[in-house]
Amino acid sequence: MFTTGFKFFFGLTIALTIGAVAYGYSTGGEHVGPVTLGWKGGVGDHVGYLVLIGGAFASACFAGIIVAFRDADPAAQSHYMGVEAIAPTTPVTGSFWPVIGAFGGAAMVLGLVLGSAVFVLGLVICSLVAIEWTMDAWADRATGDAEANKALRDRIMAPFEIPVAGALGVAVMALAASRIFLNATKLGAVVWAGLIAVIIFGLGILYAARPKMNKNVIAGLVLAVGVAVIAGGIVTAVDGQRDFEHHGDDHGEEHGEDHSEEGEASE
Amino acid sequence: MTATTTQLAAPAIRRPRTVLVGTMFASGAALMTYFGVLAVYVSERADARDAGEEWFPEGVIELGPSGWIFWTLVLAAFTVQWAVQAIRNDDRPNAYIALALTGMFGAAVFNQLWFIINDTGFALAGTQGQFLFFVMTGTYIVFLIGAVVFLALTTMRALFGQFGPSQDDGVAAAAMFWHAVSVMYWVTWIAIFVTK
Amino acid sequence: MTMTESPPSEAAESSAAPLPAVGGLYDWLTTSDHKAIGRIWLRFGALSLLFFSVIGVLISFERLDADAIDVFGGVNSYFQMWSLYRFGIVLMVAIPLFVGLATVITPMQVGSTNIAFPRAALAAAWGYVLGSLITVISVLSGGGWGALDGVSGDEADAIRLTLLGTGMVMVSIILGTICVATTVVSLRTSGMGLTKVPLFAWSMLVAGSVWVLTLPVAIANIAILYIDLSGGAGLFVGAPNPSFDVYAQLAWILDQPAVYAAAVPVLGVAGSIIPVVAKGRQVSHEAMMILIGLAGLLAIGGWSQPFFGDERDTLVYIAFGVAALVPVLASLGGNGATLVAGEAPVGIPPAHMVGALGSMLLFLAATAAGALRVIDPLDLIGTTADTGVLNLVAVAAILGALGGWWFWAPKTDGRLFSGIQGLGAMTVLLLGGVLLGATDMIAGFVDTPDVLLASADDSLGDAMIVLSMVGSIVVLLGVLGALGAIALAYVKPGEADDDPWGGHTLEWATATPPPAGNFAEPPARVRSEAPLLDETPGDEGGES
Repeated sequence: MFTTGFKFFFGLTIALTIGAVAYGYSTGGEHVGPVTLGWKGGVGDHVGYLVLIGGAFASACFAGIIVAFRDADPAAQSHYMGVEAIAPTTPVTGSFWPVIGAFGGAAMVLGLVLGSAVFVLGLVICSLVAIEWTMDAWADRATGDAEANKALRDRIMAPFEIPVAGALGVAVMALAASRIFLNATKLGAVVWAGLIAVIIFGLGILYAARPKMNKNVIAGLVLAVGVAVIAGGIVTAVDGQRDFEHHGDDHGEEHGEDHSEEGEASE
Repeated sequence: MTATTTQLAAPAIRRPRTVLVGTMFASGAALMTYFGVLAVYVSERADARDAGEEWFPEGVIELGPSGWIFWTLVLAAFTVQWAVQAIRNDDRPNAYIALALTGMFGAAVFNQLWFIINDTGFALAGTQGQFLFFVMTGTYIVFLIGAVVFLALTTMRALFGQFGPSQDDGVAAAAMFWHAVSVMYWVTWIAIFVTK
Repeated sequence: MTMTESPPSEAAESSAAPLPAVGGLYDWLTTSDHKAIGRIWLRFGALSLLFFSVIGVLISFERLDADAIDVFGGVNSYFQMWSLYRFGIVLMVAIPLFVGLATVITPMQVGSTNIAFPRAALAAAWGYVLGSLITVISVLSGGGWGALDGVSGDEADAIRLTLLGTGMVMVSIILGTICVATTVVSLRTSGMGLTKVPLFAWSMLVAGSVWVLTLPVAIANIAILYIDLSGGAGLFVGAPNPSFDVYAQLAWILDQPAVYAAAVPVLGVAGSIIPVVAKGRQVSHEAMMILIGLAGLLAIGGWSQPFFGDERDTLVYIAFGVAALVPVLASLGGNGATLVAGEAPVGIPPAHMVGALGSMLLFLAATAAGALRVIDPLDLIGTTADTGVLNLVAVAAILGALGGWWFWAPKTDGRLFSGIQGLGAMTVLLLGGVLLGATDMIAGFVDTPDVLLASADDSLGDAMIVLSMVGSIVVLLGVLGALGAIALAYVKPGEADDDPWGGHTLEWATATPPPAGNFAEPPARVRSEAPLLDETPGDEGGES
């Protein structure tokens, strides 16, 4: 009747509840406070009492849920599904989104210190990841054929992904380039402009020559962009925040390098 | 499209409890985070009272608007279970309506809470009570947004044809997390608004 | 959308299979195979282990003579490194090594083809890597968990980054743990009730539950500290500048009882290795499960937060502190009985056995030291005894994880690690751990203060600080030996059988290295906790 999982979590519940009451009384709890959640009398040290009660409550929920699922035993799950045997897992395709999500989370963390722009960038990344991840999860179970699932997913998502990725790419590139132009010397800006144009042209040739790029190259690009975001962010945090929107008369050359870093951080 | 997919193999049956067990642990972690903040709040409030200090200015925290949130979440608890039951019955129109209603209630709670925060006129750099009021409500808002996003993503998958009588785990998991977030507010309501 | 209205034919046979792997960096970033995900945790955990061992040695040098030696360049820098070592060795080394080992091994132990939520597990692994990097770099840039001597504005930013990085590591651990715990609960193979789960898998369920109940409380502390630093009046951080208060609010994670949670899986590692070494069943599998559960219960933390009310002289704190010794001692006894009942190995013991038993001995020493520490008249709290308990737990966890890694190397890395090198490294690590823990405990008895660079005012205390430094060097040597042996196994890979040790549990029924999906065919119905010892698979046996 009582499953192993239930016994474990229920044991935790009882022990933590007794612990909370004992802790309450041993830290100055009064009357029946520790046994009535402070309704009649003090509970003693509030932090310890509440964390213990919270732990007991969470454990009780775990116990209730797990006994309702009969410990999620394979037999219980098969019975619920009305089948004889049920496979442990279904295949899940590899995806960039988890790692992009991790980088998005890191960007949010950095943004909480650096300022709203990086935070919003992280938030946008995480929001996109949530949608893409959901669609991947949906596609994995659309049919029993992995190739067909991938085709289905691409057919639905590509019309959104390609324009959004293109717009984001242009936005990031424009933002980064504008920072460089704004902070370089006149001659430097010309050199940078030429260099960026050559890079874009070179990438275009590369893509035209090899439209099906090696997946490891794509992986390297994803990693490089992610690392640039994090490294740029940390460097900016360490060096102190700069006034990104400063457009005064004095664009001294000595600030050029710093602002370039900031451009990287925005990528 | 129809001709193609109907000839394809059905997806393998997956274990119905996996998502629910994972959500159970995640909900537990969320609750413990909240209890962690609440513990500090209640502890500091008790210390302030023992020292004879004022925690909140008299009459600033009102029970009315916070009570409306309480009842909104009670309604949402029913609507989210309505969605689960509708999916189990393969009654998709009802499931979509229930999910949308729950999401709407979530938005309403956010709106009401935002109103309360603005109405108090508290400052983050004010007293300890005001600061912790922001921390408590802010933490709750983060989890509320998480629950609404979970519901939205679940709804998206449901709209694309997933979940049904034998595989209702995704919707049930979203409902489980929703209930955990509701519990957080009900505790908050007592801790902040009732006992002040 | 049409396909949603025309569901795929139920009659058609499912041909779902993972798309072919590309290999290289692409797989590192996109893999959905639990073994590759676990290796991310393990390898970065190993690098972190090396880094924090070096930091440990530098700190011990600084402690030798606070006036003469200035390794870090100031009291704040020393405090940053001191706190970085403590948080790092627990949150970025000990726990991640176990999460990594569990991510690889537990799905196979329970007969599953993959971990639950592999994408979330991958996100957790990379979250851990990035969170650790953010934390370490921010500390090296002037951040940390508060300061002893005031900070500049940039340093205050770096402190906020340190707090958030620590939070990111904790969230990643929780996420990775949820994947492991969910696998143990809901992806078991046919016939495997929870009572028949291998002890390592069970210990990860217990430890995972404890981490899920404990680490979020620390995240709550971090949230309060971050918000206070970002716009509050500094009431919680020691206004106006971040002070020692920041560290003090989070220090409970490194204190009893919460710190024990990092070493709970040690009981599972030993419980899985010892019966195999003894070539027999665990004498009492269910009793061991109860003991592991009890150890987990007594490691739940967050309720003792001295910053908000130092109640460490109360009955409950003392009871938790003393009682923690019992399950560890009993578990060691149970493993000893299993060794006695079976065929104890003759001659040179295998490295994984030394790792398993050594880690249990260190964990026992840690709980014994902890039991002494909570006895009020001894007045050990606030002395170097705090660090002693922490170091004993940390080295116990590291030794246990390395022992497990050596044992399961054919499944984690597809090769055997050198037994002799492993034996040497683990013996050195064990000695280093004992030296490190014992000296700090003894120094605590003569009231040598923790945290601050201060003289012990006692010749015995001074001597212990010197010996503690020797201990940290010995630990570093052990770590170098172990990691060197692992690296060497990649340079000169040794042949590994599918089951080189005569294992009892399902991971040993897979090929070496295990293929995607782990099992060539679904495991036969499990009838006991050691399925490979059951002579003929049958249909008997319940599922709890």
